[in-house]
Amino acid sequence: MNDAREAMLNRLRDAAPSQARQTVPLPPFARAADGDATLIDRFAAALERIGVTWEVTDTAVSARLYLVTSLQANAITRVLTWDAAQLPAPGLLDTMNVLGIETISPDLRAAPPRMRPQDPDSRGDLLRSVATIEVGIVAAEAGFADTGALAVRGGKQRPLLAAYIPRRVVVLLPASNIFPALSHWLANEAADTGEVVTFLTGPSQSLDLELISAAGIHGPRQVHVVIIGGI
Amino acid sequence: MPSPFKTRAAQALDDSDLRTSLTRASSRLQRWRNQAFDDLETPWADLQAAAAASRQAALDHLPELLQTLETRLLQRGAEVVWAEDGAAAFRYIAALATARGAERVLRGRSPLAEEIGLDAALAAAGVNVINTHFGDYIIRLAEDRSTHPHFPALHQRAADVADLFESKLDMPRTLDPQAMGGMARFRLRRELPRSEMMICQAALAAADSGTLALVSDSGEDRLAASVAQIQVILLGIEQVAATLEEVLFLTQMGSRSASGHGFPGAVTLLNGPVQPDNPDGPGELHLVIVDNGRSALLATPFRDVLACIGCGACHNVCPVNREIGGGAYGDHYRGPVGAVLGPLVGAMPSISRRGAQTAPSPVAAADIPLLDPAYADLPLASTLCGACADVCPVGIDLPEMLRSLREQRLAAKGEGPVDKALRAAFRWATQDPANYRRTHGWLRRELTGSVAPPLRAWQAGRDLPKPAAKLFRDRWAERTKP
Ligand code: SF4
Repeated sequence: MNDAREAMLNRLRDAAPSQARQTVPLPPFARAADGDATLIDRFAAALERIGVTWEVTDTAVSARLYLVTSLQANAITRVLTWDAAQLPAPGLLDTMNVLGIETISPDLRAAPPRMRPQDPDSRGDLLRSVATIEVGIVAAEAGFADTGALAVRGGKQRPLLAAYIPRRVVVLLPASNIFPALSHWLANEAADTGEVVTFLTGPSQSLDLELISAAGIHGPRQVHVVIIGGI
Repeated sequence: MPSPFKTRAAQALDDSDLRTSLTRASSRLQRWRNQAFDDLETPWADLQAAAAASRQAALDHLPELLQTLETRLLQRGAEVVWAEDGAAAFRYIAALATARGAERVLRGRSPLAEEIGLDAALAAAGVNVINTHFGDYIIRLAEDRSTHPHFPALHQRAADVADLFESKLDMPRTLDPQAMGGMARFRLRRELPRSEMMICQAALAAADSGTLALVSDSGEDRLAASVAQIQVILLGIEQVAATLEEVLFLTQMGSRSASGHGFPGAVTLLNGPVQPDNPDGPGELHLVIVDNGRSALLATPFRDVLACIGCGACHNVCPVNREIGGGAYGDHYRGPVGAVLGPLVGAMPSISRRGAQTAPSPVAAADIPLLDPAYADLPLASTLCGACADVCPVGIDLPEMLRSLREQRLAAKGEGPVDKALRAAFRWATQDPANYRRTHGWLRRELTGSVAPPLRAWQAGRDLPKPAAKLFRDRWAERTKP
């Protein structure tokens, strides 16, 4: 394939003009209707537009209380989640465990892949064991007030499966992590870490059947955002 | 004998159910798209100009952008493969599947995989391909073909899909899309632990950070990227931008244009395979950069078509596409942009071979050989109304390209007696005001009823608006009368 690389690059070089590359200024996608509304109000309105429910709590402690109460009220006994240190609600997992709610943080890469029929199917077993867990809890690194999209960074102790497998996903978001738009976050973004970043923009939605929404085919059917410190 | 395109178009025009559902769906998509841009403070023209500038800058600097992308990904442990054409891409992927013992592979939405016929080639090589995108899943089950870049099953009616699910999946018949989606979820989730390899297409790649953006509505790519041990990502050589900011800007332009969503349903930024301290992501990541005639196309007057970000907006507004649907265009190329790409991409390998051996000079439009008749007719599938150029988020002048391809088609085919007669008639009608008036009067009478041959065949596929009761020039004369 190296020959192919050279041949392709040579043709591209021959076809490309030789001037220096210029930076392209990119205009914002600001909504005309947003006017003077506060950042949180704009974010909440954007969440509603994309079918996401939300709750604002004043502190991490009240977020914890709110969450365990809701989980208990819905008779949830197992939750797919990140490690405690990765969630902006200290003590949340301990409290859930004390109340009998099992918390599971799946480490798929620790389970070797099954590439031949004779290999043990440990990854398959792991996936099947978490497939029916109803609720996932993750944290967002940023939320965007123009679109309601949430940036979630995967990595060590932050398995993104917790955001993809369950039917209902709770996203914890410190109010200070709400940005007017994606470009503001990109401008402040930390150095490139090579980690996977995923943007959740509401429930997983397919419009393939006559453009009528079918939710949850490849992700959550319901997304709920808990904004911490927003009062 | 009519060409395959004309035959398929005639069949589509005869299918009134298809026409109704296409028109309804296209109108809704168009309305959602308009709303998504009308809601913004920034004028559409500014957004379109910025997106066009970004794509033009990328096309101007593809060698350096692709090499930077490659370097970044190699540093993080990814494999990067350069494929001259579909066959080379297939050979690499098939060999990889065999080497890793992967008998089942998942495949996300990928117009490039469709273009190079990847599924069929893999199936022939004994690899079972499972389509994870809901639209593709329906298409595969129906043994049909996709008709839209963004919504492959746009032409399918819920009632037909209900029958399909009943007969092929043993599902009690229902017209509820949510229930049918639930069935697809159940089936596809079952496949996840069984399949260790996933193939998908990056919407765009950011050279500066070495990031591949996987974009979808429902998130099949992101799920598989977390689960699959081996991830193969297809990338057309043109699908790269300088910065991540540009990639995300274009992604938002694309989702607003495609379905009116401010941000796509699911975007995942992949930077490489898993690392010891960074366990999320695929175990192995193979990027396959596919040329398939594109590098040669870059040296032609049609280079701007490579700026396309595949949003499908031009399909939704095109009065021809809205009537006949994407299926009538052929296997891989659809809508106004497909009508430009179809005749060109297939013709490119002969140019690219020539280019590999000698220092190629820019190729003039007239030097480009047209593909077989199935594709050469596609540029006729346009009224040249310009609606596609108006909505194109990256400002591609498709009508001008279509006009130019028609010119070439005519030059290659030579003017027939009908063309000559029409040209003479047009000259006669437009060179003298009295003739113009006579012609106008005749056309107004003719077009309200059944026209005489040879116009009858031309009229068969067209719903012409009723002519105004009074000519514009008469009304103008009345208004300006002192
Ligand atoms: S040509 Fe323009 S409008 Fe058509 S699919 Fe490509 S980017 Fe979208």
